[in-house]
Amino acid sequence: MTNPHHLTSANSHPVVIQAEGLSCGYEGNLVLSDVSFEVKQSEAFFIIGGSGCGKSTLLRTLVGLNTPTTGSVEILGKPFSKADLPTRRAQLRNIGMLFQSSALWSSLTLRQNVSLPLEEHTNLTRKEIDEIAMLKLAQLGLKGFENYYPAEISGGMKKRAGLARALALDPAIVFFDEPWAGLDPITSRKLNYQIKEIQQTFGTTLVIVSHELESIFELANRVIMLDRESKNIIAEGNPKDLLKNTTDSRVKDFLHRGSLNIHQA
Amino acid sequence: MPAASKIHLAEVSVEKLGDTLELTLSGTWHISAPKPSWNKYSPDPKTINCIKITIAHLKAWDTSLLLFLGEVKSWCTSHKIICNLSHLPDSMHHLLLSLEGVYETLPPKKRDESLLTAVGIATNQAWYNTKGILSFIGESCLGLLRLPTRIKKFRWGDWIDHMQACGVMSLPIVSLISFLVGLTLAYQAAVELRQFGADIFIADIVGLSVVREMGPMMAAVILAGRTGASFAATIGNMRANEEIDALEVLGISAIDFLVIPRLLALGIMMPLLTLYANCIGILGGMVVAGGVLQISPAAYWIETQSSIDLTDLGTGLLKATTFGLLIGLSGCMRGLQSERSAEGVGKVTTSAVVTAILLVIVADALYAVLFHALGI
Repeated sequence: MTNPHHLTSANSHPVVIQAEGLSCGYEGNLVLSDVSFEVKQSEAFFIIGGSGCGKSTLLRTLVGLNTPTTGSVEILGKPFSKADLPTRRAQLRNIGMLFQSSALWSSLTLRQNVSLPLEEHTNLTRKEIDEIAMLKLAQLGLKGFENYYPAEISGGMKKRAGLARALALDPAIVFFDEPWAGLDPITSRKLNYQIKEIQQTFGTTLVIVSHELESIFELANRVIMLDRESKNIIAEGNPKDLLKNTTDSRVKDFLHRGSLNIHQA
Repeated sequence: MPAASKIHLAEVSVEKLGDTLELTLSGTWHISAPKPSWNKYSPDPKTINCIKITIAHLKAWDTSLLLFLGEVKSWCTSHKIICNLSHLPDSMHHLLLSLEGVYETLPPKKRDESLLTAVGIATNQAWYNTKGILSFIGESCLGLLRLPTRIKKFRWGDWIDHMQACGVMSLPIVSLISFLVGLTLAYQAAVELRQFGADIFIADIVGLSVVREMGPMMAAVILAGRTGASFAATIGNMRANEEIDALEVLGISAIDFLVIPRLLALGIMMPLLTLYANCIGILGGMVVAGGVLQISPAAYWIETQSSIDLTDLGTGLLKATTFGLLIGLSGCMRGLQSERSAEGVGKVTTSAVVTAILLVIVADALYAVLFHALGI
């Protein structure tokens, strides 16, 4: 079994996401300015920071839901943000995303939700697609709920079903937008365990937006911390190393409470 | 009166000691209860140089007390009188400071703009809207064209569900409206025709107007209100719930997944509903002809058959198919343009109906010109 500390030292791993000089915003208000970073294969990479610092905006830009004002994103060594729509769609097959609201398609059952990406992007038979969908749902503890509609299950189950859908095509990179938001501590821990298992089993790269400090310290190999004032990255590295070595009071204040929780737990 | 129901109202007692006015606050200060007004107690500012505020027998207090203190303090500041609050508890001091801070915040965001800026923004918006509409129509056409290549992936189940929702489920309302329209047309015509003894031509008037104009138009208006609004609300809601984003991130075209099945459902069900509406409209005319002009159903039917040919029927059905596609396009397009809020969904629903009816009427007018030019 690989643990996160081993993965931090994996500097030799190829870069899977390269963000170069990204600036993004809404209606003329710049949220992020000239942000550059890279994510390596099999990393658990966290984008952290206080509310309103642009974490979700950055994530949406990385997956192509927002167009950057300047700069570019490369995914798996190929241009992504500047590519044309068919090229981008082809590249999206390597990506999965768990949305904050889970964003399950409400008119489809959980099985149909997981099946849809497979139906669209593969030539598998109906039987094979169903088998994969059932397997993915079972892996995330949703066996027996395959024919339920999203409105009929709890928030935690929706998150897991959303994750099953994100993993349907066995993507190389999975993006998570606040995966622990609105979950109770026990469900959060279960989700942590499942996320860790995915990373360790398939070597999947995880890009997670969060400010859940307990999960950051438990899962992250590397974090970047964004700041609302400077609209840029103010710290980068392993969260435990950052906590020990940083002199920046903003980073220290942010990470300190989380480290206390970990020690108390 | 039972003791429990006694209400201690907010009270202020005032005592003047030399040049100091001592205010003692007591009782229960509650925001929903009457609050003493400082204007009632404020003295002549020339007679004092200090106001001392104390509390005694204060049962309970909330923001109403702070508002009163705020009034006193600002009066003191404006009249250059010392306001001694040192006898108040710390918690009150803190809140009072916060209350003062309310007025010290940054000026509100300037939202009004010059005429030139407004015109610029509106022009920009109009350009983006036009681009959005053209791009949506283009993508939908491409989606329809690539349908044969991805026929296996076409969502047949959704298509049938949409056909049922917009076709079968609309039958009762289409029946009622079409029958009443046929009936109204016949009544209007009957009065005039009787004067000339041309009673039998009621079948021609009703038949031609219903088949060429009223059948497709009424079916379109009903579907614009019923189905167009439903499409916009459903898709708008999906947008608000990030379901459309989920499609995009998974590399699934929202046009293929959401728009094409709906467009095809309406494109097929509209002519069928129009045929049905035509029959019911003619039936409405037949009832009036029988009741008012004593024309037998057989005679009415033979006259209708002789007046309507396949060209009339064809033009009506061609219009109906166009109207169906326009309603589908309006509903889906407005839905995809929705903002991510409940209000946004409401707005696009209204907008979808208005756009659909507008486009239907414009298309109808264009068809009228075209058919006239072609002589059909």
